[in-house]
Amino acid sequence: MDEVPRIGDLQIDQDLAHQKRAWAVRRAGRAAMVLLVLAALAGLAGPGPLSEARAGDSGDPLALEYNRFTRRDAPAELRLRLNRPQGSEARVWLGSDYLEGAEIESVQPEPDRVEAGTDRTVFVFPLVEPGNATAVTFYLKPRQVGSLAGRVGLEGGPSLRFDQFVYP
Amino acid sequence: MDSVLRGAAVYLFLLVIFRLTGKRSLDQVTTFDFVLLLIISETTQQALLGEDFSITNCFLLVLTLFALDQGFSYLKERSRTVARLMEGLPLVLFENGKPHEDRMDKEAVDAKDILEAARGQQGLERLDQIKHAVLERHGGISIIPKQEEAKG
Repeated sequence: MDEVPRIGDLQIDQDLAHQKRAWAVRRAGRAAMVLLVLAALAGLAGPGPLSEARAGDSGDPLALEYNRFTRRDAPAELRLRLNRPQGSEARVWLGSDYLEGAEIESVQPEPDRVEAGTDRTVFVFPLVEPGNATAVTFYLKPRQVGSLAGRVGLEGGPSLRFDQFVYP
Repeated sequence: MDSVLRGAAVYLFLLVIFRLTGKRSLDQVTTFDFVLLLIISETTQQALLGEDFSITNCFLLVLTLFALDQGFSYLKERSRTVARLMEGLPLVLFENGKPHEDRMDKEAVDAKDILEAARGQQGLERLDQIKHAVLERHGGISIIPKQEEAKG
């Protein structure tokens, strides 16, 4: 049994050195809490201003908007912009590596059909007005934690790389 | 494996948060604090279970939480350092009738809190009747009154 020290008349386990350290830790901890909340507001812990990212220029045949930081099992989006697509249909592909780490919940507009390739999945969209810009959005849920690299492209056209980080 | 990790992460996170926000918060539970606790439990529940609502998952989580709780209370008993880290130490706020203002500031306790405890516990009327006031580990304030000395 530890002997409980006496302070004046009181027999009490007070330790001012420890108390001072505890206050210092608490101050640091509170500062850390505030910083974390600010970082989350800025978008470092998920969608937010600092998380918004794009690949490809808006004038390119293919441009992508995505979130650098996402969270596991939380809804995420890949917004694709197709400029001057040629032919009667647009053939957009996503790399299979990415689709192993993220599950597609839905695609807007819905593809006419989906074709499985060796290292990619191709989504085929019929075009109402070939040559005019159009947009395709993938609604996904990341399933794996950590960095998640993806490739998206047009068949026979340009492709884009993008990197995301998925929080648990 | 996932359930155990989720349980441990939430347990440790809450432990750190509740330690950082200070001991006073545990004793003075207002109605709003109570509502806040309900919201916290609702929020953590979702992250704990994820999308797995199976009985196995539920059992594993409960086991994990209890095991951690038991483990920590065992460690607390064995090690003074762990006990201090997890529960803190009592702090004397009034010593022989003299207030330690710096300590009271740090713990966000003022004379009104001490008077409230003094009235509630000892039926005291004024600060000068208090000999010692101690902020206990659980966040309550204990009051030791001055002995009435028979004079004249």
